[in-house]
Amino acid sequence: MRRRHELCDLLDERRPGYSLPQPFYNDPDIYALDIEGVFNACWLMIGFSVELPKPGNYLAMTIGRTPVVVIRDRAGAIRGFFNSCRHRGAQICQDGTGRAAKLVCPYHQWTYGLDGRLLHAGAMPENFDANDHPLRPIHVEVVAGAIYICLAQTPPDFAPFRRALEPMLAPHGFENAKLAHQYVLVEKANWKLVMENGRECYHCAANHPELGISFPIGISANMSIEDDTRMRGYCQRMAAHGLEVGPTDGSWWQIARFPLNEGMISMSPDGAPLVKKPMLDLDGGDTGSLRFSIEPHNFCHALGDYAFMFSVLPVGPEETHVVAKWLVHEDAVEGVDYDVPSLINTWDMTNRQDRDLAENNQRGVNGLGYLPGPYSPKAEGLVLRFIDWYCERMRAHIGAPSARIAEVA
Amino acid sequence: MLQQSAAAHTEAGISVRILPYDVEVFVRPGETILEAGLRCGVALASSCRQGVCGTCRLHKLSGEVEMHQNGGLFEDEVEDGDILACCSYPLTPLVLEWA
Repeated sequence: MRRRHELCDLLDERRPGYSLPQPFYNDPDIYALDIEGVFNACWLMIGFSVELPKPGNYLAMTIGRTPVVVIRDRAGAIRGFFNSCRHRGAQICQDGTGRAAKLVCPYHQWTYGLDGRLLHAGAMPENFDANDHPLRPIHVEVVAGAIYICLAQTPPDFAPFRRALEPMLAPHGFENAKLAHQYVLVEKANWKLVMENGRECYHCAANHPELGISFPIGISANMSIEDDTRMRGYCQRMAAHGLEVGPTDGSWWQIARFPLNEGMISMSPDGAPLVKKPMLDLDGGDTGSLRFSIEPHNFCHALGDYAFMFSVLPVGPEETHVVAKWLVHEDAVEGVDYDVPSLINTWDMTNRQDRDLAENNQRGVNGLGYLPGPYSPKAEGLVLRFIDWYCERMRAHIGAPSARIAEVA
Repeated sequence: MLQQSAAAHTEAGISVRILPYDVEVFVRPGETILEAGLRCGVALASSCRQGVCGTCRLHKLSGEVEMHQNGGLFEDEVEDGDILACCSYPLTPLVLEWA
């Protein structure tokens, strides 16, 4: 493991306003510290409560090198556990989705209730106490149908984020939705390059002409529109519906509702809605998008007719999984009210274009010729914010003094 | 091809066919389906033998059982025809499937 003071030196080496020194994008030791300091420590968005419709439905995934499982218990609550058996540690549920009345280790069949209690462990001695070996819980929060987890023993304070997101997201009816499509896109790029790309639209006009039909891809600090008159009209219209616009944010989250391009109702090939039965049935679905995102790894867009989730899971120094999910109203009938190829078209195309950009970025960054370069304060404000947040998080993780304090001092 | 007949209810026990092995075992009075299967050399997986872990789960294609499970299956799974061999006793001849 790279010694912590070396990481500290590298963090000190970073010039404010510039991209990171090369090792942050490809060094295995820094990658391992990223998992420790970021993915094992922060809140992560993994999906939606409607993916777990019945008791026993679970969603299992690996965060860094840690398998976890999120499951609906018999009382209907959503709980999370480290997905490692308390016997000899084998992974209990395979990654993916499924349903289980009990969580049963496939190795020696140690059997746990959906509350994590150990119910059966064969051939153990009389003095073995099952109560000493429950599944280890992880933190789970569900906000208006969006599921967040945290692997840390003491997670960052979730309450301010919940207070801000819940009233803004609730009208979108995620609890009455269904998962229409999902996939995992494998990208040969460091997770931070994938995220930097996802935090700016400087690249959009040239690289995402399809997204640009509906999405305001003009240069702006916060992915919103520049036209003040239109923005005022939009805010008034949303206020009349009781929909908060924001923007509101915290150190690791941002929430804002914004209008799409003039005349565009959804993020679709022609701006027209893609789902006949809307999630938010106001003004024919013309409510713009509620964008909510958290550092380190996620953004979502909740439109009138569908919602899109983009979450990044790192799997190696130069490999990242992008988990993409699309939600529609639970009563929307596939083939009648929507069809999947049209529903996913705009974001799928955008995701694949972004994958090519991130992989291309990785190749260039890996070269001898790479030197950190300056972000555009005007067009890459959220990237700068992400990278500054990352550097501060890593300083806190290794116990190094904050750069912000150092600058003031 | 095995025959489903009145003879299936014999003194030797109640006939239980298990697919896809296509074997027939006769479950004796007081014996569980798992016990009968293992006695006859059928490769059935099991662990807790008390209806908790669900390892011996089979799907019932026809017939009736008396089952004393302890939470290894959800009620809706039981309604869909799933049984646990370790705690199920045939009431009629059965056709079961090892999933």
